[in-house]
Parts: sequence; C-alpha cells; structure tokens
Amino acid sequence: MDDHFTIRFERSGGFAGIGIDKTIDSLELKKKETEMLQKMIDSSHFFSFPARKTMKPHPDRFSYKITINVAGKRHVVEFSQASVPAGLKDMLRYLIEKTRLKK
Amino acid sequence: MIHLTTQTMIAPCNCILCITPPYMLEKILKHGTQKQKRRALKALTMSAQFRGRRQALINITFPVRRTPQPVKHRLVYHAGFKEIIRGRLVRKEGEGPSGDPAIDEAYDGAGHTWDLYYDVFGRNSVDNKGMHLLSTVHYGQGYDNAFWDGEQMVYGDGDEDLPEPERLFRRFTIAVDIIGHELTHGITQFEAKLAYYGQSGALNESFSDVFGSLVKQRILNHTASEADWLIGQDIFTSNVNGQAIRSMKSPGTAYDDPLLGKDPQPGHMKDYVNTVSDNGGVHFNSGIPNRAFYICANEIGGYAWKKAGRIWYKALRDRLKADTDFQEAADITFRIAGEEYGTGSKEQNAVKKGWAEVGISTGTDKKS
Repeated sequence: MDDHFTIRFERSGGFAGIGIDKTIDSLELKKKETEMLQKMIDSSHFFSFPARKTMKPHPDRFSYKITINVAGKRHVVEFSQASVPAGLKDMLRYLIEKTRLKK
Repeated sequence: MIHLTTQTMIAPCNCILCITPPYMLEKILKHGTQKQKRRALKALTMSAQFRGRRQALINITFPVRRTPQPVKHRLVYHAGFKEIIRGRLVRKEGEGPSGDPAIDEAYDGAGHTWDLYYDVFGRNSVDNKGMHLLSTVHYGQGYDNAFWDGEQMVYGDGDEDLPEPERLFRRFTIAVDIIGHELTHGITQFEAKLAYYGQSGALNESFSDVFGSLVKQRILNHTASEADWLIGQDIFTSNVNGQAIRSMKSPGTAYDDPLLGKDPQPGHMKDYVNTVSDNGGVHFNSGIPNRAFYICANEIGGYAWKKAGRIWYKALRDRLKADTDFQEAADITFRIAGEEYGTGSKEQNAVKKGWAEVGISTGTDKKS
C-alpha cells in the first residue's frame, strides 16, 4: 500500500476528562515512519475490525477511537482501554506516544 | 467458672425449663396408678437434677460475643512501569513508609478514605464488609491517569518519565482527593450502581468528587467555607496554566491552558453538554451536581462531611439507582434532608438552594 493515508486518533475519558484529538497525515511524515505505519495498518487488518467493540464503561478509564482514511476507504474502530483488540496494541502504543501531550 | 455461649443456653436439647410443677407430680405420686406413680417419680427426679443445674448456671457468666472492631487492610503493588494489574507487593498494612512517594501516598490516601467512611458514616471499607484496599502504582509509562478497575485502584505516574520542562502531569497519587475519588467509585459499584453514562454517569463522577473532596477537607480540618473545593489541585506541574483538574465551586475555571484546553465543565443545566464523547460527558456534566453540593454545604456551614456529606452518603447508599438522573438525585437528597433534619429545616432548604442554583427545582412530593 503506497497511498496517502491519514490516521485520526481520539482519546476521551480518564480521571481528568482531558481529551486528545490528533490527525497524522502520511504526507507530513518521513519515509521510514510512513512505511512503518503502512506495514502496521496492513498487518493489523484494521479494516476488518468491528466498528465498535462492545464495552462496558469503566470509571475513569480511557476510551479510544481510531479513524483511518486510505485510497478512498474509511474505517473507524472504537474501544475501551480495558478491551484493546490484540491486533491493535502496537498501533495504539504508537499513537499514544505520537500524540502525547507535553510542553 | 464455666463459660458457655448463649447458643448453648437456648439450644432446645439443653432446655432446662419444665412445665409440670412438682406439687402436681407429688399428688400423682400419692394417688395415681402404679404406672402414673412411676412416671411422676421419674419426672420429679429429672426435675430435681435440672433445678440443680439451673442453680449452678446462675453462678456462670456468659461473655457477650462482640463483633471485632473493623480495621484497615491496605496492600500496595508496584506495576514496574508496565500496564499490569496488580504487580509486585511493596507495602502491606502496618508496614512503615517505603520511601517511594507513590507507594506511600497510595497507602496513606487509602487509609484516610477508609477513616472518613468508617469514622463519619460507619462504613467498613468499600463493600461495608472489610474489603481489602488494593492499590497499584507506577502503572505504565507516561500514564496520565488513575482509575478503579472494579476491584482496586490503579495510578499512573503522569509525566514523571519526561524532563521537567516537558511535564504537564505529576503522579496521580499526589492528590488525596483523587484517591478518595477512585475508592468512592468502588462504593458506588456496591451501592447505587450508577450506570456510567449520561446523567447517571455524571452523578457517579460527582459523588466521587464529593467524597474525594471530603477526605481532603477532613485531613485539613477545613470547614465548607475554608475548603478550596478543587479536585486534583497538585496534579498539574508549573508548566500548566491551571490550579486543578476541576472546581466544584466554579466549574469551568480550573484550568485554561494552550495545550490542555479550557476546563469544559458547566455549572448550570443551561450549559449541559450533550455529547457521545466521554460516555456522554460524565466528566463534563459532573460539574452541575458538584456545584449543587458545594452550595448546599456552604449554606449549612460547618464541616461539609457532617450534614451535607451525610445526606449525600445516605442517597448513595440507600436511594440512588443505576438510572437515576439529576432531577431524581435532587428530589432524593431533598427528601433525605427532610427525614434527617426536618421538613423546612435549614438543611433541607440548603439542599433545595443548591440544586436550584444549578437549574434544578426540587421540593415536590415526587416518590424517590
């Protein structure tokens, strides 16, 4: 997959209720990072995940929403921190680090 | 001296109470048939033996079996900076400070929360049956959060893994009201079971803020007018333009930072946030019942845990349900205030005023 893609990462909930809403655009990344992300999207089979993993809300846990647009396709996956799909753990770890709030 | 339990005293096979009086048995002995005389003699003999035992039992003391005094059972675990629950046990009940601030804050904060619930409300731990208080600290890396997982508390270190100029959050054990907040989620789980979505979810959050704040106020010995009513006051570093995570006194004013944004909490129903994010805005709209409690407590005066806290605790323990909304919570607390302190009392009027100032009328005869 060599198409332009965007990944929108949204985090809500948590004790503080301070959300994160950031979009990563492949056009703004270095080639190495773009290739790494492309591989991650492909190997996770992101587009075959159910849109919303049934989740019982847990007090003060984070909730995540990942939206990926690529080659005219769009898919959204939502889940709670308590029920991260196994195939998305690496992607989630990357997105959390990439969008981490810091001065 | 013989010690017997009261159970021995009342067991039917050991009953030493007789129905037929001796003078009647003696009459039968004199005038009855042979068979009747034999039976009367047997009964008289046994009766004498029982009377002898009764006399002996008069001299016996029966110690009252007392329920053991409830005590704290705290256990603190270290997650090794991984996202695991529970981790390595690092401090047990009764052990001295470890020297690790997160461990010791989790230990002390759980103790202060237990103390509030037991000393003020007579509650023996989260489940009211002496549940152990488990805490896991150093959860994950850069984890800027704390939560109750259904069985225990979990605390992240915030940004303590970053160079100081980059940090926004300190470790989440640093604020005792955060610890009280998380433990109160446990109590809600055992009592009202407020569903964690929409208004019931916002109430779930608010009750946690209320009792978390009361833990802090009690430690500081602050009256309602002396308290700052800030939640998570020490959680931000000096790199953040903000004094706390939330303000119960003035929702929406706790922080306004270029990176974190502005405190989004409303303090009135006219500003209620309709959203699907954050489970229907549970951390946003909790500002409304938070402010209602703040006003109520200040109207009553004195220590907030004594009367306002008592009303709110009884609501949480006895009346709130999974789907209770703001209006019902207002009606319930109004009704409880009347039951506890009298119809038209200062306390009941304070509850009414608290809810009225956030846009919710109460004081009707609606059933709770």
